[in-house]
Amino acid sequence: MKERLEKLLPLVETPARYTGNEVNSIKKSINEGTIRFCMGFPDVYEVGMSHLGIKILYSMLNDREDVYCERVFAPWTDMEDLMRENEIPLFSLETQTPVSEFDFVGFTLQYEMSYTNILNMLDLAGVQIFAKDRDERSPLIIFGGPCAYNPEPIAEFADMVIIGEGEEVLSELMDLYSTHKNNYNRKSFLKAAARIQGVYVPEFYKAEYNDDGTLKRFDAVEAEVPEMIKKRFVKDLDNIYYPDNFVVPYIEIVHDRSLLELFRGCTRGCRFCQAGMIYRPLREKSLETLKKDADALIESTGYEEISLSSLSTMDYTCLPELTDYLMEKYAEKRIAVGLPSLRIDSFSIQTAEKIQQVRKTGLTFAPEAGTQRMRDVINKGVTEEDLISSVSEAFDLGWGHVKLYFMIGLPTETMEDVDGIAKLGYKVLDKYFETKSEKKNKKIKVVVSTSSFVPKAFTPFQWVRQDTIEEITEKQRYLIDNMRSKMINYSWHDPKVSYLEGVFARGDRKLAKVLYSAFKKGCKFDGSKEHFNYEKWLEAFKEEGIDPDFYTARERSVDELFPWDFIDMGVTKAFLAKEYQKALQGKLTGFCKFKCENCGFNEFEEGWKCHVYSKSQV
Amino acid sequence: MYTARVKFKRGNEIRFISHLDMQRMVQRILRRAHIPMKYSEGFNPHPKLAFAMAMSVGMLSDCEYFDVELENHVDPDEMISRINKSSPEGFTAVNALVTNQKMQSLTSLIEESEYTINAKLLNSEDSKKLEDAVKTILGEESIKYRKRNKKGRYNEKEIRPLIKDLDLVIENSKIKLGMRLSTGSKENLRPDVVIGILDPEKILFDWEFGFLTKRTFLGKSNLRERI
Repeated sequence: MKERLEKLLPLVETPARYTGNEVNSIKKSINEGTIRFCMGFPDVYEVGMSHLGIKILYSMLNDREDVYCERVFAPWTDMEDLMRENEIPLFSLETQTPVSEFDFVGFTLQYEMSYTNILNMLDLAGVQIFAKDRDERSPLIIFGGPCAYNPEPIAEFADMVIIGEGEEVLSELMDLYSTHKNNYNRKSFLKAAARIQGVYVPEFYKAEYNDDGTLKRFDAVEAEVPEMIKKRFVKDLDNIYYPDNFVVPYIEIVHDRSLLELFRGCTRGCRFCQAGMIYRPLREKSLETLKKDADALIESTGYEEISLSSLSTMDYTCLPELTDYLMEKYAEKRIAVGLPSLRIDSFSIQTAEKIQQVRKTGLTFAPEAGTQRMRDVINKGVTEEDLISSVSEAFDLGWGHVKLYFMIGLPTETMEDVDGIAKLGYKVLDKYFETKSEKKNKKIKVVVSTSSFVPKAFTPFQWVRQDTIEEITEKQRYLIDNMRSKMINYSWHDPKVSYLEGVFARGDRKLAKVLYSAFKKGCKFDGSKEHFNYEKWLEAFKEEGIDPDFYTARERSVDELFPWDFIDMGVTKAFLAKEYQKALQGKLTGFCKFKCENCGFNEFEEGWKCHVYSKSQV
Repeated sequence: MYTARVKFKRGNEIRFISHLDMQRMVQRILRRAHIPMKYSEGFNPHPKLAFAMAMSVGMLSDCEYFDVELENHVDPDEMISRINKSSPEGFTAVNALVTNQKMQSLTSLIEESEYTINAKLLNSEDSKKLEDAVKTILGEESIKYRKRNKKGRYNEKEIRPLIKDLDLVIENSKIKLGMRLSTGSKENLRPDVVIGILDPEKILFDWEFGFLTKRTFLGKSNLRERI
């Protein structure tokens, strides 16, 4: 394999995507008893290697003596063509072992538009695409990640789907497999696995539909498997495995830096945000743990930047202490500390000012909507004054590059709300011209970026109708026409991609055949402009007799049974429904870090009560 | 201020990375090895690191150089051992020179490179043809090479003086072709150009960059600083 591969590598773009052998990649001796796990990411190396979850699970699995976890990414199309031409099957990076020879192959579902890549990778590996066609010799195909919370569109391709955080449940699965490995029977293993909390085995369940296409019932059809799948979450992040090193790629990846995870969960309660609901409850790591993690990562990777990565990083209770520690110890060594998007307040600007001593980059804010009314609907608890005073302070301190993230197509949105985005862009620009500070930056650039809202399962907006492609296009055109300043740079998302994303985000099992058909037509890398082919997708829907509008264009009734309702993710459907009603009335819900808003999590699992912080702790 | 000049090898494991990746990789090796690099000033400080030449993707090398500016003196042997402990497979630091005196830059010192190609004759009867091709080149006084420039027009360039030596050994259809060519910012000739002249129709032997091992030579003016 290695020799055949070496012949192809000089012919492809960025061959180092396929060679492995990076610093901190794992080499192990393999024996009879070794459980072989191939961790797959359905996108190219540069994207997949940037993902924190994969890094954690790769290191954690390899920490076990009885498991060897390797990696595989989607080969770019030039490499895929050569592999198919030369009959080279999909192989792992570490040992160039064909993926079909592994015990387990895992795929993380980060994005709906990567689903065709999974099918393509299974095909390239020579693994049966549908779970029902697999036998004792096939690897077990596991899916996990945020999109797995609505697993139904991809359920027929999975042997198992992990709902929730992977650390504990994967360990339990490995323990279970080691008792089955010598006398392996696919079905009896899956039956045993289905009894582990957080493991969903789709073939043990059956969906029935009403004449109008909505779900009628969803039942377990195998004895002794749970009716409801309860998600998994790690209770104590200070006592769970976190890597002390990361694989350091040779080629530049999307997030080419160390990532420090400060906490999981977010309690802001933004109503559009799926992560804010499914990753509950809030669990912070202690300052001591984070210092230790950061020291180890900086030492072992040689990276010049460490990014503080969490859903709303600025909310971390001990953020000032943590940034002080990192700056004191590492500023002299020119190791920069990175923050993702900032909270819109003075504290955030002060923090950014402190940590950007090493390397000064732009600032990113996410007001999400252009008017106060719209921000109240989505429960984004910021005001225009917050934003304007924050950017004004930033301009005073010398920043000249400000990015603003918005969404269009939000529920109840009118053109007035869209216009608010353009107006806000100009108000920010005006603030720059009003700045009289000596430190004022000579260059100014305001980047306004809109993504198109896609209603997601397990959010207060899971019932709403999604804007059509035409509606989104009109709003984007309005913003293009109304932000003509050369100092404002407007960027937007392809509404056709958002439309398909919406179909799969709230899709059901009927979509499996559409996915298969689209893959057969050659759809892959649908998230990339270069490869996305909307016409082929429409053909696939048509041929399979499925109307994509069924999933996006209707307002769902309050009592509709959803395809994902058999999953218990902790926050109750009743809470989501209440939040939806409050949204329509423009009523806010507080930050539940300080006062419980009764989302249901305190009743979810025995032994768990959310920690209530007092405001003085912040 | 101190400067370290480091001689290194690039092996098979890392031959597919680009020059830019190589620079990034070396920076990270040096950081993991706790080498006290000096950084540039400004909003985006970066280590002062300079390579002799960019290498083609796929090519191996037995002898390459980089210079790095240091905050303080480091023992060269200590430096080499620390670098090698922090390096991925395929990267080996061989030797280092650490000085507080001004050194001539690598790019201005580099004059020649030696390349060795290990390949196979496609047809064992063709050894004579290849030997003749080598002799022809060495016998010529002038060789013009036509090259398309950035504007798409053809330029003609005299390259014979840039070919310092060719040396061919054929044993049981195995070829070992040595080439000594001008390298550097003033005059530069790529080995694939010479191969293209030797075997323009690609009928004599099959090769790719992986069969090519390079050695970079620094010029004679570097005698005092030779490492």
